[in-house]
Amino acid sequence: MSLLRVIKKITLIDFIKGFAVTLKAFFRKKVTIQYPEVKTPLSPRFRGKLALMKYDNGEERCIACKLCSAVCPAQAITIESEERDDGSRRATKFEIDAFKCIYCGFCEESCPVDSIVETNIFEYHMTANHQRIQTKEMLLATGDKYRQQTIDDKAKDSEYK
Amino acid sequence: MSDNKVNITIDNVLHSVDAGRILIEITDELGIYIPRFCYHKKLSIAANCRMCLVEVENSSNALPACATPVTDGMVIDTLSNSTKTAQQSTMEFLLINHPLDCPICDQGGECELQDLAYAYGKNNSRFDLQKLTKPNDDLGPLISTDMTRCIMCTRCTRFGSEVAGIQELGTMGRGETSNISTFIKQTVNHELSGNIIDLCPVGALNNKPYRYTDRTWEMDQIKSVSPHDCVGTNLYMHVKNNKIKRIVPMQNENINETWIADRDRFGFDGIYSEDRLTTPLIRTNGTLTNSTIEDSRRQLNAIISSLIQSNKTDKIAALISPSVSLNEQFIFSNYLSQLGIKNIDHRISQVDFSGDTLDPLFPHLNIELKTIGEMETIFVIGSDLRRETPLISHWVKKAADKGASIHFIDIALREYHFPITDYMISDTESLVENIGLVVKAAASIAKMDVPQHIQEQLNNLTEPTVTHNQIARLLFTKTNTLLLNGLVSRSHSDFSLIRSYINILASLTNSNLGELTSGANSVGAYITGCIPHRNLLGQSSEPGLNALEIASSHHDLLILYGLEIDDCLYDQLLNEALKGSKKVVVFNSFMESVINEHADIIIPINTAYESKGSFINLTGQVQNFNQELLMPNNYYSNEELLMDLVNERDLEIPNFNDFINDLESFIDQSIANRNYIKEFPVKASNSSPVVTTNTFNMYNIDPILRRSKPLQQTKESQSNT
Repeated sequence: MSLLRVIKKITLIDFIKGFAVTLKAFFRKKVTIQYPEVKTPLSPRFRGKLALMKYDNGEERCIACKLCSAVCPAQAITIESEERDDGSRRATKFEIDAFKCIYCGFCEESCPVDSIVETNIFEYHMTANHQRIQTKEMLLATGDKYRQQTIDDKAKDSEYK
Repeated sequence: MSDNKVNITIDNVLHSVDAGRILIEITDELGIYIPRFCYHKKLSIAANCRMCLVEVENSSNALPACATPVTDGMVIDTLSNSTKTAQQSTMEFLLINHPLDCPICDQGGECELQDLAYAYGKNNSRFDLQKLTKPNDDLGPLISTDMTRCIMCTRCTRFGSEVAGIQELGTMGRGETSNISTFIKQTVNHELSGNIIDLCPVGALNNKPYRYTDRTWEMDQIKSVSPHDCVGTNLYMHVKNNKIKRIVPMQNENINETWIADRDRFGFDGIYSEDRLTTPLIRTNGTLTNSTIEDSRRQLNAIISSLIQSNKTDKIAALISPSVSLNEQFIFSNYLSQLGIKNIDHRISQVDFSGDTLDPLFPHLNIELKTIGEMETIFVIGSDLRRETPLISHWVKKAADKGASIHFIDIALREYHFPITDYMISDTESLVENIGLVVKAAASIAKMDVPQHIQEQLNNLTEPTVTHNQIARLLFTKTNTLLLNGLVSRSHSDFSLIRSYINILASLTNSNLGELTSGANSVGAYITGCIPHRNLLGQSSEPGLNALEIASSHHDLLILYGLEIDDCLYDQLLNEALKGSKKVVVFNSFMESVINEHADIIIPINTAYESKGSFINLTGQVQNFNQELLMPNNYYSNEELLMDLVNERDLEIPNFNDFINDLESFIDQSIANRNYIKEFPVKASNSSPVVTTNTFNMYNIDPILRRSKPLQQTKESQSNT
């Protein structure tokens, strides 16, 4: 046995075996991409930044039923509501703490009017602590901005629901 | 009583139960739940929702449990397939026209229909046609309506006809066009009408001020006691973020059953009014400026010190509201008595103090409130009962419905919704004489037992009429009789004489006697010594000035605790007193223009909704509550504030816990050994300048109610302004 070991040591055969693995990987198809120039494809089910949607006529969908805040496991959603002048139930305050949110998607599941949705946006940042609170206006703006994308995604996923 | 027992089998278990009882009552007692909408234990049986259908052996159809009396050998299966099918089909019919708007419905989360649809319904609907919608009525500022949600259980209409006594809501039309509405377009005005909010099993009738604000699962429930009348109604406050969102009744069969008055339900709104006092104010150079608690306390102390040094404690006077908690009253009255100040009173709606020496240890009702419902004769003297104490009026109505003869004597005709045997209207001056005549009639029936001095007094009166005689005779012949002395007679300028008469009448006819008091804790004020002629626990003391004397004279220092000018019956006089007094120190929860004009120091205190303590109701029941968590930020608790005042002067006041330990036995003994007043007060020669008012707005009796927006929009408030 000791002779075999001596031979192995002299010929550096283990090294060569190891480098062969490296060399194989060198020619294999790459799995990494040049982020952010290149991006991975996203599933239509991707759960990203939260947004509030509107109807086609521009009316906000949210009726402040508070089911999302009730179901939220991280208690990230705070809602206050009152009767609007036209007699409809509306949120006066709809805030999501982005640091608390765990992107579980329960809020979207529970929403009876498809108001709160998860867009496929995951690249967003904030520069100050207080910016983690996303107000109703910010959420509606997000909804407006990614409206078409979100609608298309939900449509793609709808046949599996 | 074994004859009256029958054996029935429920879900394969044999039970021996009273014959003739309704099945659903028995299953409720046994803890077997049968779904129901129209059945309510406090209301009559309608059997129109058909949700409680259960399978009964040998019956061709499933039977409604709420309308089926038990019979011997009955075999009931509440879980069988036939029961299940019957209940599922009923639910399917109920849901045909019920809108699917649970997400915006305030009842969502506490909705009986929602719960039962989940537990007993099918999970799909076969109905895909147009759903029915119904118009909404405006029922006033307290109750919101969404009649499309109504499932026609008729609990609200039955409440009107059976509990309130006036059917303000009724069922109109038939079949699918039937709906619940007021008969002529009008609002719902009964003082207990808010209870239909709790009764409604769906979201058709709901709390209007609370509409669309919060969901049930977000709120915490805190036990509380109503601070608006001497009944001591038990409440639950529903609280979110340290803010009261709504108030619902807490069941207490001895006091309020499951009902509360509208002012208990909607009154709390006042504590969030814009007038709320947040910082202490001190008058410097003629204007009130913001200050700190410490500064205002120091200033108050300086004023008191200088007056004590110059031996002018008799120039200090204090008025305390009858609605503050026992703890505050205890510290406040002891603080003043330790300083040697005798002029303290809480009886701001009483004019005649000539009977102070005859005062009982505290005014009370010597029976439990629920026993009022079992009385055979009730004689109500000088009381706007429905407005003063809506729940006592409810108990009197219960007695009336059972056939009791109810007699009223009052200075104005007021509307009651139960059968009244006699209603004597006398003018303010002859009220006392009319009561005297009833006593005279009673004395002539009693003959021998009447002491000489009473007989002499009665001989001055004219002969009693038929009505007087009838009341006296009924009080004599019936065993369970009750005399209720109301707030109208308490504010009468001959109150002491009226009270003596009533006491004599009670002792002659062996009746129970109840004295209504204003405020939530007048009994506590008597016991803690917030009256000029008594100290703690009824020890008599050298009398100081009473409320009327305090209001009609000028002082070097006038302290007001928790009360406003409008609370006082003689507001004009008190206004003059504020103007004339050298220094005015006010402990208040709200800003009031008159007080702001004259006060030198204003110290904010918490309202009863935000403090800790107890109220003693008119039956002598001590009820604790603890709501200090609702205190606005940076507030001292009222107890802390008062204790700081005490400690600053190094005063030794009695231990509150010792007092509480003695309290119960003190109350029990005083009620058990009640001595009826047999003497007549010595009336001062100069007649008092105040006239009893007969208009009374039940939503204007304390600072909180006065600021409650929903209550101020009611017809009651609008018509009385």
